[in-house]
Amino acid sequence: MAKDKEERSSWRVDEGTVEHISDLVNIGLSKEEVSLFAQQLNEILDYFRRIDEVNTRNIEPTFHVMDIKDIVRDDTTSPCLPNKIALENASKKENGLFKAPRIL
Amino acid sequence: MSGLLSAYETRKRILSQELSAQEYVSAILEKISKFDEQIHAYTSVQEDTALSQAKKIDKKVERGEKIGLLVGLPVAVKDNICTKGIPTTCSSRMLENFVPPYDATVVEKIRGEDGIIIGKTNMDEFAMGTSTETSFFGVTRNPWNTSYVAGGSSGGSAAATSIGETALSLGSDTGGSVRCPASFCSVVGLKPTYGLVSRYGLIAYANSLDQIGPIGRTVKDCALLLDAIAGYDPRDGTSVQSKGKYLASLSKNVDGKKIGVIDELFGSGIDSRISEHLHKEIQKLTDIGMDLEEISLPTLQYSLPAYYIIALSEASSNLARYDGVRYGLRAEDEGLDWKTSSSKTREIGFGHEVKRRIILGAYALSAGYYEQYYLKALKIRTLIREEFREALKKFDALVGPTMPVLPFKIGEKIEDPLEMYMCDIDTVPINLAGICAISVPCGFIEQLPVGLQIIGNAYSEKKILNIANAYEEETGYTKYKPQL
Repeated sequence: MAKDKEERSSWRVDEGTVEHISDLVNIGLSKEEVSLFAQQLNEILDYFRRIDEVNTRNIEPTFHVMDIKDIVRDDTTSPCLPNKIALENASKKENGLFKAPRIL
Repeated sequence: MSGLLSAYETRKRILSQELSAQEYVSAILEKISKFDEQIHAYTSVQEDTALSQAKKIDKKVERGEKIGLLVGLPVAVKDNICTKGIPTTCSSRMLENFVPPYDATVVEKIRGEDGIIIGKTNMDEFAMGTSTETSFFGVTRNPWNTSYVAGGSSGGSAAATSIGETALSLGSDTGGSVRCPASFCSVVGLKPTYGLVSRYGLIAYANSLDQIGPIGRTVKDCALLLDAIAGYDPRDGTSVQSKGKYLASLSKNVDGKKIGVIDELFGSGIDSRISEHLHKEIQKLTDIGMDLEEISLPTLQYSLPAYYIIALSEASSNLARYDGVRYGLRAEDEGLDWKTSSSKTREIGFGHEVKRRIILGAYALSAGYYEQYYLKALKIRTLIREEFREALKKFDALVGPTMPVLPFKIGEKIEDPLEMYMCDIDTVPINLAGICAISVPCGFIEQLPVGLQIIGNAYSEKKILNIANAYEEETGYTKYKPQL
């Protein structure tokens, strides 16, 4: 029982973890969201860990259900979107290019 | 004229010129203006282009020209399927103003078969949900009782089809998003085998699980729309050649078909009323000549966590593209660097559920957890696939409930994400295995719809459509319509 508790606490998600992941995935979160998600993520991950009960020794993973790989097409050209249309949904553009925020 | 004629019957009337496409489209538009304020199935309606297309189709019919399969039938399209020149929002603030420069392959095919894109339908934001409550534009209400959810994530498509605001509709099904709302709204919804319908132009949620599927008021209607959209597409490397013709091969003869009743689909969390009701309905399959036997697929009890781990991992990667640069919302970012700008855009562009799923997915993929969650889930997927494969060697099809719960009240589950995820327990195994399944109306409990799920092996759509068709003819449940 004590060991269970110890194991559980070793993987529990705290607010710092939520902030760290939200930083990795570039999603700003309010303080309320951080606290709510920390609590909800723990409940959800507790449930997800039921998969530990399944013996998957020597079982290959299925990344994809179809037995196909390396689908290629003939190396021929076909029309692509004209520059003007490709830019139509961009909120900022300049000289026929997407205008991105500064990188550094 | 009744807007609740089946698409199949309407098609016959348009072809025999008993009814014009213009009359029919006008009647559908009237229904939209009458009901949609209350139901909110649509995010946008293409009134003018629909009528002008109907006019062209009527001319074709009058002149006896070659006419496509869909002969002017209105098709409502889920708002995560790209439509050239028509906003495609994924019901998200992030894509509120996104207008695709191209049509998805399914939309091209529908237009090519003389179907009419009548409008775009409401959904859970980025297809993440089971109730259409996470839509940025507000909830879709269930036509059978407007205090209840229509199901999700293709809630708008199913609700519009159910109340007669369209003849047919398209949804997408990653873990049950066609079958769940079909069950909740008492219409027929099919999740085709992975690869049977091109995903080109479907805005990705979880690529290895996503599949576009038809929704209709009858099994025949579903088969008709499947005929129009199935088939190989060079723009989707995972698509395959269709084994069509689904409508033409429908038959009522299901004599001697072997049906397995999956024990685990009646497992923990199922509403006992549904369990009891479903067992009675499944018995009716024997009245039309099928043989029933119970079967256990033990790994299915782990399909929900395995599904969510895989789906959210894929989602966290797919949704990384929304940074506000090429399309979609961009927060006011004058002077900000790229990371700050992107984080701000994603903070205001995504709703709670989408943020939660991206974060969970990224967590499952992160160093130290990849093997524990993601890889383990993929191995469970292998076991689930094997169990289905073995079972479907012995049986023609497998059955169970589509949903473990009845349609629930708006607001009842939205604050508890895990409880909401649990609703998907009977639909997700099919996506993990990449096989096909159909939800067909099987009656009502306390005046709320219930769906029977019929599951088939990969590419055995004809078989499950036949069984669903025979059951529908026997029971007549698809003849009921909501009274608003």
